[in-house]
Amino acid sequence: MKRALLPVLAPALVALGLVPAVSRAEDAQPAAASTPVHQFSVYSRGGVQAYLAPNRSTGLFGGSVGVRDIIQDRFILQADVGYLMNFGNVVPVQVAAGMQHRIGFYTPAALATLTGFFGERLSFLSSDHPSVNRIPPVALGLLLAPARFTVEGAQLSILEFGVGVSPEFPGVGVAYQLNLIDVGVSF
Amino acid sequence: MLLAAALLGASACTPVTPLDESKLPVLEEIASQIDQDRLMGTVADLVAEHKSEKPFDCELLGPNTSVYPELCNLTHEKAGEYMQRRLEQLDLPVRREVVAKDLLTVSNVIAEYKGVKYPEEVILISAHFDVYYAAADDNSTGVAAVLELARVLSQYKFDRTLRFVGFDLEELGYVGSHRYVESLGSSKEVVLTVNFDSLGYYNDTPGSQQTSLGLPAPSEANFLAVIGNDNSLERVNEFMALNESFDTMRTFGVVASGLGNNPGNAPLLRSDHGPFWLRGHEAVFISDTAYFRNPGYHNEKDTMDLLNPPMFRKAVQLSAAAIAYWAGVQP
Ligand SMILES: [Zn+2]
Repeated sequence: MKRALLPVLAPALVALGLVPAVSRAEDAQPAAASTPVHQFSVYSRGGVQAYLAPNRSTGLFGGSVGVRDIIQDRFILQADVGYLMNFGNVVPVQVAAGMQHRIGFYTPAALATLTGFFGERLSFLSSDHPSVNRIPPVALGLLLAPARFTVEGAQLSILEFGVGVSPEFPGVGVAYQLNLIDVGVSF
Repeated sequence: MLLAAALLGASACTPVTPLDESKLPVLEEIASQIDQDRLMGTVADLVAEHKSEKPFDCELLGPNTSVYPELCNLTHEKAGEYMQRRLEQLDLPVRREVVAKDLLTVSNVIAEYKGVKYPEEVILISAHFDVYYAAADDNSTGVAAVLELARVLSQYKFDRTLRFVGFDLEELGYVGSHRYVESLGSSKEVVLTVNFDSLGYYNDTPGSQQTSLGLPAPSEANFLAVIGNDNSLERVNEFMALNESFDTMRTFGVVASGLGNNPGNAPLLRSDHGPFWLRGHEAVFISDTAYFRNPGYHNEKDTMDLLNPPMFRKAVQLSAAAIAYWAGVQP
């Protein structure tokens, strides 16, 4: 079923200008000998990213740009910075490390994430939290990219899901992430 | 570094704002004078005034009236006259600020009690007197609170001036308060606005408080909300701290980011403090949260039997203490 996506995906990547039009699925099969140790790319993603806790809410809609290193076609290191709006103007900073698994074009990935939300927020004061917490929340979490594809170093991922937690003392806040699309181009 | 910031978060919920403790005895005395029977008597009077008035001509408002039937059940004139009369009975100078513009004419009620040390600095205490149906909670309770605060506070001396204001046509889009804020221009005389909108509905049942994404709240609708923005954060902190000192009632503070004009803050802007926030003024909004809990919100069920008089009194008591503190009550 996954391979059935390839005839659809390859033209899409061509249309996005991410791979040359002459590229064919067979050409993109990785050859271990020719895979560079480090494959750097810039990427951009957009969607929903919010941090919701009993004492504060921040983020929601926006996107990020970042730099990614794919090591030995297997390990992923990436860092990005972005802009979110709705519960204030927020700059999210995320660093992540994880792995991809390659089956031809299909390269699903899972990453551990550390996400900071810097900027405005809605605050809620109660007997548990009697004053505004001005320290930006930093959530440790997991990001899954089940529909991620790589063609000649260009990456396209749709519908990535992430969740993380940050302590609020008492309680915890939860960081939610839904990337509608993530596009990376090697350099 | 991010991890360090996360760990620092552990100690970031610092204790409540320290208060000038020497003021607490007089604040307690002021709060004790808020009278439940007077509050409820005023609400009953206002409901009767609204019921006896022919509703506003909703033809002026165009085709929306079929979608929002409450637009054809708005009354305001008699409540404005009632508010003016009651403030005059306290020997306060009262004026009507009439602004006719576009299709709507507003007539705000404005009374003043001069401060003795910094009379040019004004604490504005407001509630809208226009309502849909004969609304007891929204906002006869707010108007009754302003009138009771005027009665009690005018027996004391304050550093700053207290300005008691009834805003007209809030329900049609904060028209009265918007025009009032426009009339202030660049003046900085209003140093703080304390706006009351819906103060009398409380419910201890778990689940009785509605919330929305990113706007959490206790499950039971038995708390008073004090809502500020970044400009008025310290006032929210002080309100919470005063409540902790007097242990008056369950209180929940909300602080909107920036001026309060981000999309996710929209539900927090929905009363007459909104125009003050957006022009950079300090303002706090004190409310039972209205449509987040009251089944009578903007319909004919907003009646007196849904009100909780002892809790309503506590809300006004705590507000009286806070306003007296902010205005610099003299011993
Ligand atoms: Zn109202």
